[in-house]
Amino acid sequence: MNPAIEVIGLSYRYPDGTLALDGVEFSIERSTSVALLGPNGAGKSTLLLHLNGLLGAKGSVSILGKKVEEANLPWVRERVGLVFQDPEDQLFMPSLWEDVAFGPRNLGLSNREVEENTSWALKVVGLSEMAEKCPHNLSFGQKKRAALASVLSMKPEVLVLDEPTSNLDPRSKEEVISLICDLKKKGTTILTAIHDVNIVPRIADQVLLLDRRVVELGPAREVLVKRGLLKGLGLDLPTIPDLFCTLKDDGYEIGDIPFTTDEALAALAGLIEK
Amino acid sequence: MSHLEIDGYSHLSSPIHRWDPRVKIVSMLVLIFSIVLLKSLAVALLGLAISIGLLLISRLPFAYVSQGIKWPALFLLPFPLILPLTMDGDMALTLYGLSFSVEGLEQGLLMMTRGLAAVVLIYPIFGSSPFNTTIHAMRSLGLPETVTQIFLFAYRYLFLLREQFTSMTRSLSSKGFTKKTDLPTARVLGAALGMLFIRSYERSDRIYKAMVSRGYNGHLPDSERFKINGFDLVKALMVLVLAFGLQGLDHLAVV
Repeated sequence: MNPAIEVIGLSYRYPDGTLALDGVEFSIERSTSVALLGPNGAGKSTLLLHLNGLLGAKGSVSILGKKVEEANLPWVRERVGLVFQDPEDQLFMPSLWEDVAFGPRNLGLSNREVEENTSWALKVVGLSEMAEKCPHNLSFGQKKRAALASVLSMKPEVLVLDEPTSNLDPRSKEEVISLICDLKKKGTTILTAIHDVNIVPRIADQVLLLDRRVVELGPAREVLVKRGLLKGLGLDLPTIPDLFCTLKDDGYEIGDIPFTTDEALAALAGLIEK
Repeated sequence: MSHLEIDGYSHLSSPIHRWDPRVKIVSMLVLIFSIVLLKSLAVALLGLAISIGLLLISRLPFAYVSQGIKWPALFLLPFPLILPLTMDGDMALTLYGLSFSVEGLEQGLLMMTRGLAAVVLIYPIFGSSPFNTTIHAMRSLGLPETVTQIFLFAYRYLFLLREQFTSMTRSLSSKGFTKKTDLPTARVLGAALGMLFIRSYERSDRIYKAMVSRGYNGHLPDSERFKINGFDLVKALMVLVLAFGLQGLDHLAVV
């Protein structure tokens, strides 16, 4: 089966001459959740825009086996849902309902289907009660979830998220994480650009490190313990693996590096017993 | 941040709220035109009373309406104050060498009354339906699609623009900037406004990308299905009778 996302030799230079992507190559299998990590200016957002055919560049991008090119753009946009970092950019209609219904209507769905998809998406993100509200009257956390709903209503096979948890309070962050986890369980292919490395083990199976070109792509639990690699890119290790990697470096016998609180407790109990 | 929008009370229930927006817009616009074309002050006052009556029927809160009306009212207030001084006619009063004419006072009051009545009627039109519905109704009445989209997006982003400017001026104040009537103040405010334009331009590019990524191809699909019933037509007939009745009375009063 064709991979969900396949990028070959993708290079992009902004009109001011800044090189954003330099020969990016990677492939993501279907139903996989990948976290895209990289320092500021690494080209993460630029890469995401290419997956939806919003920027054209040297190289090729294929979605579910089809090349992203002019003739395929409606097909690609139906299958790739792109959630922008700033929800104010994504929520442009005067009411939340209109915003969430915007995509399905453009897909040419019947009124009944538009209604069904919109109600479903609003329910999934827990904003059914806010449907008639103007987006600028929502809280930032609600706006983030609303932006996600505006894409979910198109029922995309590939979901591309740009910093879905940035600037959110802990509760809103938790709501967005559990949403992503639910979508992951349902088999949606997800690519999430993110800075908060502590969230990565919960939402992603794999990690893609980007610094204008692909630095590493591999299982999250393998990439997130490569301290030298991450530090070299100006990134941190998640707190729990960071602590246990330090203990390991200090000579303590740690088996597999724990990533969750439960795993950490078990590892600590083992250390104390020894 | 919360703002009081023009359609903030569109969720209320009243005969005006339940009126088909297309029929409502056309009927009320006829009434507005009828009022602003009146020549008799007495009939104009009757027009103002009708406008207030329709506003009361719409159940829109007085505080909400008065908040929006105060600026047009301030603009209209100078007419009855200035016209008596500048218009020729029978002298009503002479004070400290200034002559006040009866005709001027009448004309000033007439202009203010007609203006206020028109502004008052804007509220039952735009305040009793969601803005989106009103704009779609205007589109189905023949408003060009580009203008429709401009209205929709302007309504959505004006508030954001205001928020950004407010946060910019707060930031300036926090850095010790105080507004004065001098060139450096003009320069700083000019730079802030310029930055706001640049940010808006960049945002518009991102919004366009977000729209295109969800299948936008220059057209907004129709989202509203309007249906006219008998009650809509009865309401329209009543408003049209009022509009033409005012014109008839005005004709009689002027003759």
